[in-house]
Amino acid sequence: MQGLFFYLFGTVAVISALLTITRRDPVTSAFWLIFCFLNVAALFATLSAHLIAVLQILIYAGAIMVFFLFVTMFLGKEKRSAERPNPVVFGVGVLTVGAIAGGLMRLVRSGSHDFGEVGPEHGTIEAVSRLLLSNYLFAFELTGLLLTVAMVGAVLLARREAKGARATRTPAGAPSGPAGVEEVADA
Amino acid sequence: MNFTWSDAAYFGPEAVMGLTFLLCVLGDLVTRGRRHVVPFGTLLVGTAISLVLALLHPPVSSHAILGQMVVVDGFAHFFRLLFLGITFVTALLSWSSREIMGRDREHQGEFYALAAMLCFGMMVMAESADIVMLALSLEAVSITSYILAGFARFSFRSSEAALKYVLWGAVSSAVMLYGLSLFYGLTGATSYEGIRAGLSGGQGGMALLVAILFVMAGIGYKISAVPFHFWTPDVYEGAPAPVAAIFASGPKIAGFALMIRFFYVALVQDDSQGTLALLDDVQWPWVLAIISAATMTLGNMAAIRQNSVRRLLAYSSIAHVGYMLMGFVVLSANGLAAVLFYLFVYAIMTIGAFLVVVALNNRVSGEEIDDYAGLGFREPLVAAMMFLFLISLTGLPPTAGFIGKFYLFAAAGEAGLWWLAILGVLNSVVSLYYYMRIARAMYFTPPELSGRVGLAQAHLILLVVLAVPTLVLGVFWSPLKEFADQSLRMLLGGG
Amino acid sequence: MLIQFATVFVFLCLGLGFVVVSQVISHLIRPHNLHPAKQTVYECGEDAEGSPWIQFNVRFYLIALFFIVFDVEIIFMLPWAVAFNDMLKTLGAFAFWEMAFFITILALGLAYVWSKGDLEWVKGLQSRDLREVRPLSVLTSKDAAPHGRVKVSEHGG
Repeated sequence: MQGLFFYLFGTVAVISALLTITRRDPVTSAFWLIFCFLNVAALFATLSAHLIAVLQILIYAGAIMVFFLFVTMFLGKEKRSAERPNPVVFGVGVLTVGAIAGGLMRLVRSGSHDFGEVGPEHGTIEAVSRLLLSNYLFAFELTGLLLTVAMVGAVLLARREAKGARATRTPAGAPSGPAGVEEVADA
Repeated sequence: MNFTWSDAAYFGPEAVMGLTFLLCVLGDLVTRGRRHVVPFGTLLVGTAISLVLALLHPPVSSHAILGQMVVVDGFAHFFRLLFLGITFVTALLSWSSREIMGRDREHQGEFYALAAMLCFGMMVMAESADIVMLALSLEAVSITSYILAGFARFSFRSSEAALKYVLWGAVSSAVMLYGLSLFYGLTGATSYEGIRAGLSGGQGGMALLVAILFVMAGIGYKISAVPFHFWTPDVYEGAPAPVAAIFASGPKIAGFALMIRFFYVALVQDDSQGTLALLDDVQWPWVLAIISAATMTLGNMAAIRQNSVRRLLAYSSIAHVGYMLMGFVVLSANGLAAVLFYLFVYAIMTIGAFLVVVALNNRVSGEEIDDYAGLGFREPLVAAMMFLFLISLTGLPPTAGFIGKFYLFAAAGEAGLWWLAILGVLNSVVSLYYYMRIARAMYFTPPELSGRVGLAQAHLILLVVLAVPTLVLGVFWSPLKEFADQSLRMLLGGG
Repeated sequence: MLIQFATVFVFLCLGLGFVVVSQVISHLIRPHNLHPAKQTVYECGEDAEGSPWIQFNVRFYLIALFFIVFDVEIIFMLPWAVAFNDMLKTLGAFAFWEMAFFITILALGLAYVWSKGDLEWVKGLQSRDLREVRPLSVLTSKDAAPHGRVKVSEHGG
């Protein structure tokens, strides 16, 4: 039963991942990527990593994707179309992925790295929490620092970008849509 | 429970630096971003306290602390001192730099906060004993570096540099994380020791090689080794000069520290006679020897064609990574000691050379080699210091650079890698040519303007402070060499 | 443990099934009467002008980034809260302080963002781009906004 779900979600995840990298409009790609993330979350759930499954949906399919879409929208319509890949680079990529997949497949088939099954409570929120706040406490606090640095960096860099974006605005100098909204609200 | 208060005693210097970051941000907030002396002072005081703590309690044995996530040992101590020194010097040189503290600049307080965070991240990088910490500390240093690279407000080049840095960094981080996940998959352990134990069964094969290559991609980006070096000249040129001075020294050295600990703890075993042996017959030294040869050759060849002093120094820093990798691949304590020695010397002379760029940048507009014409007549002291740093970078006696290179080449020769040592010597000869182009401009080209350039007092004092060890270590090098040897003893067992 | 996800799976299947079934049924029973006017974009009865793919203001992006940061913070607090009672027994007050420290760090980040004015949409606009803000009278006159974006703002407001 578990195997069936694995193949179901795994296949859909791989197909949507392929669609993500072959679409030429980034927005379409982004939506396929959301679908891929949802399937990966389902895979985590079948592995009884419940917390990770929830995080995958909340953070990746939710927050990160919002971010992706904002960035693609920020770039504007003209730049939002990918070029066809260089066939040589594409070929090398396919070969590399094939080699890695083959190597891993052989390793798994050889059965030399069997760590046994994890218990049903392995991936529960309580179990993760216990690990996170004891063994990995320092990593956890360091993450807090990292998030703060990210916030400081966003303020530092994006504010400058705001002026840059204004400089590259339409030649007619018309305010963009959202700016219009603010200005009305301001008055 | 894995946490005890005694952990805090070993982790004092790092904790102080982490706190310094928070206090710098707070100081900037409290003064509403107007009195930049507050974050600057906080950083200096924090670094000084951290340095005193580190010097008062040098670790006498290896301590795995904070849930076995980080290891404080002699190796960590060596890098701790080095990073604190780098942070202190670069903070001082930034304070007098127009590019950071000029009247039209914003966010001057945040610069010092980020410098504190960078120092904290680098110290943790050198101490990581777990792949979770490896990834996190590398990310902490990377994210801080991206922000610093884009620091110059309204500068198109700075933005371009930051964007290139982020894109390269994101790709190589992703590749490295995949490699690390393969290590976890192969061994079921996240600690370096656990990985070594898991791999000693000897069934990694193809997947292990891929994992090593992928991890190498992440680290290679950080140290700018050859296939991952493209961002280096653009970032060093686009970022403000003090930031370039930090990048050329700090994160690069931290990358080496991380690489040495990871490869020598997780992938090498000590076969009880004090010799080091490879795990599992995965021949990573050969791969790295080729990377070393490619890095030094490409770095030097590209440096010849540069007319911008900063780009030249950037390519020269790539070439130096090639020299240092030479000591890394030989699998011996001597080789590693040579790398540590060279890292220390490299930090001093690179910051020195960039300091000259920073100091002149306050007054002289251009950064082409021709803009340095006649510097020997206008600013004899600065020109003499620059000449000294250039000689040391080339590796000529009586400077510290000569001793460092000698140890590196000797270690390679000792291990039978004669071809690599000879290539290193040939490369040094090539490097003499482009370093001397700067010297020729300074001394043999008449200046277009006469009179003093008029540089900041702080920069002149710092130049002398950096020049003294460059000369002294060229004559009395044995204390540093002994310190490097001693630092490695705990890392490589038998301590 | 896996069986607990059966509810989710059934819900997922029902949801997907509902979409498919309702689309198929409406396709079958609706009249197929194509008209060009029906193919246009509906925008509150007005004629749509320009492309909907406009360039977003960078402040959306900044807000998105802060959202992610605090999203991640919540993610870390969730497991802590679930296991807190349990951990009080093993760790004691330390279980409280480790999260207090984490929140303090992020609170500092929040204070930073707040005091720099990046959370205030309009105020941030004034302090930063004062010269570029046009008075409302200019904005609403047709010739000042040749691209017709004002319409968007009227709807938005």
